[in-house]
Amino acid sequence: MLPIIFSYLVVGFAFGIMMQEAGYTWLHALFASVFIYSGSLQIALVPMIVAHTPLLVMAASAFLINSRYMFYGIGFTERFKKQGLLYPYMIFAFPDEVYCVFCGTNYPSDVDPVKCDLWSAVLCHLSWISGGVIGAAFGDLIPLDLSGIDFAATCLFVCIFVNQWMEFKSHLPMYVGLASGLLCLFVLGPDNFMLPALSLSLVLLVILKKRVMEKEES
Amino acid sequence: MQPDYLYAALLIAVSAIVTILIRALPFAVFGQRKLPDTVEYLGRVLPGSIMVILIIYCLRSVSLTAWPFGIPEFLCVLICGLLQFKLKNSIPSIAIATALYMVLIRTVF
Repeated sequence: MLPIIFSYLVVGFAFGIMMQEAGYTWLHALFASVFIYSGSLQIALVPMIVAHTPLLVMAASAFLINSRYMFYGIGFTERFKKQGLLYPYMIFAFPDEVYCVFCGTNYPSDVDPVKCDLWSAVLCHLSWISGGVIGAAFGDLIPLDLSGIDFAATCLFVCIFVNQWMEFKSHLPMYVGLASGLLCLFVLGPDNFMLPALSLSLVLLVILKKRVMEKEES
Repeated sequence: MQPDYLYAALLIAVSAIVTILIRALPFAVFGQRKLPDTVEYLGRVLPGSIMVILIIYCLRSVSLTAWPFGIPEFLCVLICGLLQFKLKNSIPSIAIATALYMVLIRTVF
């Protein structure tokens, strides 16, 4: 959790500074961070605002950038339903980093996992929002050079990957991800590879279901 | 160019709506009924694949053909992975690898 809060504060902050440099106020940063709540899309959004991108093009870009979220919900329906009235909030507040935390959580037995899920989601959202607002309001006052701190997000994914590697007997899903990710990256380039890579690995995993399950249950 | 506040608000709204719809999709499709066997299986194994793809996503803009050839990135990813393997505690793994990365890109590379 802690690494995410820091990296969210900082990446949110970077987004706020971008908004400020583009000539927009903390209010815009606030609305974007509250309602979009997606790092990659918000960072891509700023130059698109400056370039006066048409709304439809924006909608299509938003879809392409964030289409990976479609895959995150699979497997979380039952868990999020336990939130009752806050079920819709859990569905909404579900960016990469929160997905990672939820994939990796093993809560101690003396805490309520439903409450933990909710507070993790709320804390991440709040740190993201604060980062954005502070960046847009005071970004020009802070002289610290924090470039590179967003690498914490990469490290988080690496840690969850290692946890999964140790937890699962079958490492086939990781190889499937590696193969489809690299293949799509080299064929389609860095801007368009995510959705095809995710789709390809989903199809491959379905095809390989029998082999993966045999290994898991052996 | 003069900032256009209303237009910016519209773009933010469009982005937000699209993002919310994408996030709601799997819950709308699989949320109502008993999960089919294959979906349950995917829920278990998909994170393993997605994590690798997310790591690739984070490193997608690293240039392999120009100095420093992604050395700081790959080195720190490797160190982070090894630390996590040994320590099984993500906070020191992430903190050490990120700090090292920030030092490396300022000094050596």
